[in-house]
Amino acid sequence: MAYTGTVLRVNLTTGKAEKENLNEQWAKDYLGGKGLAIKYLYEELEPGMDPWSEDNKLILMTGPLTGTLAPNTGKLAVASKSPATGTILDCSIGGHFAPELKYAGYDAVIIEGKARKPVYLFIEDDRVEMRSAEGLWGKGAHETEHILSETLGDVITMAIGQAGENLIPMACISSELYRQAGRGGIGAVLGSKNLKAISVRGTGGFTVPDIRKVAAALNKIKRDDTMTDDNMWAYSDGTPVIVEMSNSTGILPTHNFQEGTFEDFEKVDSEAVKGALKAKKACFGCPLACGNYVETGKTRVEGPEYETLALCSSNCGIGDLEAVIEFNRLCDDYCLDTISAGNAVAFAMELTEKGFHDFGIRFGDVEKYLEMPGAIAGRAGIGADLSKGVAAMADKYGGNDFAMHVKKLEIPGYEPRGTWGMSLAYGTADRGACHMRAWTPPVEAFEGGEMDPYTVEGKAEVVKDMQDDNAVKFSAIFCDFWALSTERMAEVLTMFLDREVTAEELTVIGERVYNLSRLFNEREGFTRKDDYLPKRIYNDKMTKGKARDISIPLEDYDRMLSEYYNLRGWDENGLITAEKKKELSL
Amino acid sequence: MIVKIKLRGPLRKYGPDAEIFEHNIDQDRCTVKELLEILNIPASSVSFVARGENKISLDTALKENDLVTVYPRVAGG
Ligand code: SF4
Repeated sequence: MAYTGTVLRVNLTTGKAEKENLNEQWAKDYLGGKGLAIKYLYEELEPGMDPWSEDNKLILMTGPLTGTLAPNTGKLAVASKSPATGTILDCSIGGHFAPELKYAGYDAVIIEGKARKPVYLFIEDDRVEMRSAEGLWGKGAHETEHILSETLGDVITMAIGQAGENLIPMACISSELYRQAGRGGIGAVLGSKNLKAISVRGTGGFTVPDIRKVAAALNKIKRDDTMTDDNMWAYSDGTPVIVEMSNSTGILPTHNFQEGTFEDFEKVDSEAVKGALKAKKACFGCPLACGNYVETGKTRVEGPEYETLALCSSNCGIGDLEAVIEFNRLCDDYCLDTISAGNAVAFAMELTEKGFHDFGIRFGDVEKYLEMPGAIAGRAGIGADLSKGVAAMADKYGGNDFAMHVKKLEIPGYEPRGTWGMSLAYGTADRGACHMRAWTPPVEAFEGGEMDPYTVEGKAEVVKDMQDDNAVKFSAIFCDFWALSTERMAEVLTMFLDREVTAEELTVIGERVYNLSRLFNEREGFTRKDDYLPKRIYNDKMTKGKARDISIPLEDYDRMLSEYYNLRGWDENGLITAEKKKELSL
Repeated sequence: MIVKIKLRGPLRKYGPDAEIFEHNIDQDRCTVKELLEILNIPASSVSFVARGENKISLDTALKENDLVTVYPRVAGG
């Protein structure tokens, strides 16, 4: 049995930390990770609750395979109600925190209330302490982690930087310097609770019935199914390999999504990143080691990942790898989500160039660009506006049609006009515009001829299937970079759970999890009207690259959206029907 | 016929250790599919192939001096 069966509930208002039993029925219905965290939040949060208030909760949830020898299972789900969007929010963070938490004896930590003064949480097996973080408040995540390691010894830490403390709705959480739970302002939830960091040391473990048999089977899976051409791009290049692929298919966001190709892409593509590569880094138990640790003259970082390259390089017109690496490092230290930060900077650049408001920053202006992470995290100068995100900027200065967000979450690095399935993926992602719920470029833009990228035909089904598949992957917690089948997931889960898990069962769980996240949002008042993209995607044609002269006609999008609702068993307004709820036991 | 080839990501292992290399094809007519066979690259490991700026199909016939880029399959994002 790979669950510990124990949840740690910490109330920062009362200072109490108590153990309770994991809800076994929910663990069966939702597995762990994303699904189980959302189930707890759905049951425990009052509808309409203010996400900035102390009634909001933050959940750290491991998966049933966390801490085992199964490859690519070391990530942690971090979930809350998003202060940026008001939707459900779950993020995934790599590194070693999740297995350490499991070895300390917990499947999950639920954090409630608000500390009166800044604190950090120290968990060492049964010992749980809230300690003063007054000496840490005001410091970046890197220094915070360093100080906590000096103070506590061998621990794994998740921390926030100044952005989280200052309640910036694009603040993230950082761990082991360079891993992030990035989106939806999850770092600001910690900030709103006066919680600077969580450090954990676990000295326990758990037993597996027939370890020899399991180890042999897992080695075979690693050899035949993980370390294959399909997955080895993660090791040979990591996500920067996608820059050139996106550019040549016209889906690399450029100049605030005005275009889909960037003339300087070669300065920031995978070959350029490899030129600065010093080492590869991996999460716990991962043979793929996708992390690139890079150094250039003055700066160093683990990254930059594709998303950072797309939003903070081409989208801001910055064809200077060293500058992008420095921007990335600053965002990591202040704890800013690079997707949202890159979008806010690019939007300010376009608003300035188009004469909506003079922010004093233009595409390609490296000097001003490098001032932005500090300005945003500290709400200084124009940073005060940028820190609120592109939706709020458009409310104040105009430019709504090209404020690139869905449900107030900024759009990631795939230009939807060149890969139409992605528009639906963004429109219907549970936490606002997100590429990790369904990622369609491989089947439409990248792969030769399988699907026409510039049509809505067949896309509703692709997006739905991908969303359900990823929902179960993020609940069982397999890293999304391992392209494994549902059958394989079932096989690995069966090795560690004391019951037979089937692919059919997992498919139902995926659908259940995705519907529960929709139900959470439905309860908060989200409907069909919230599933649309900015008008630029429907009205403006790009002028360069593979997808030039193309936009997605609104009536086509509408048709695809209705088809998607129909496939999902939701009504025309995007609400889950009573039959569907019954079918999925919601 | 000589073509220039760029292999991307993990596909680099199927060529010499160089970003771009030339390959002399010992036949007058050669499609993308045949080129992949000559280089021993399994088609299942390839997501798409581009000539210059354009994505081309596996049946496209190559021409002297073409610059061909072969991209790997990726997952996740
Ligand atoms: S592929 Fe990368 S993100 Fe995924 S588990 Fe491995 S190192 Fe972590």
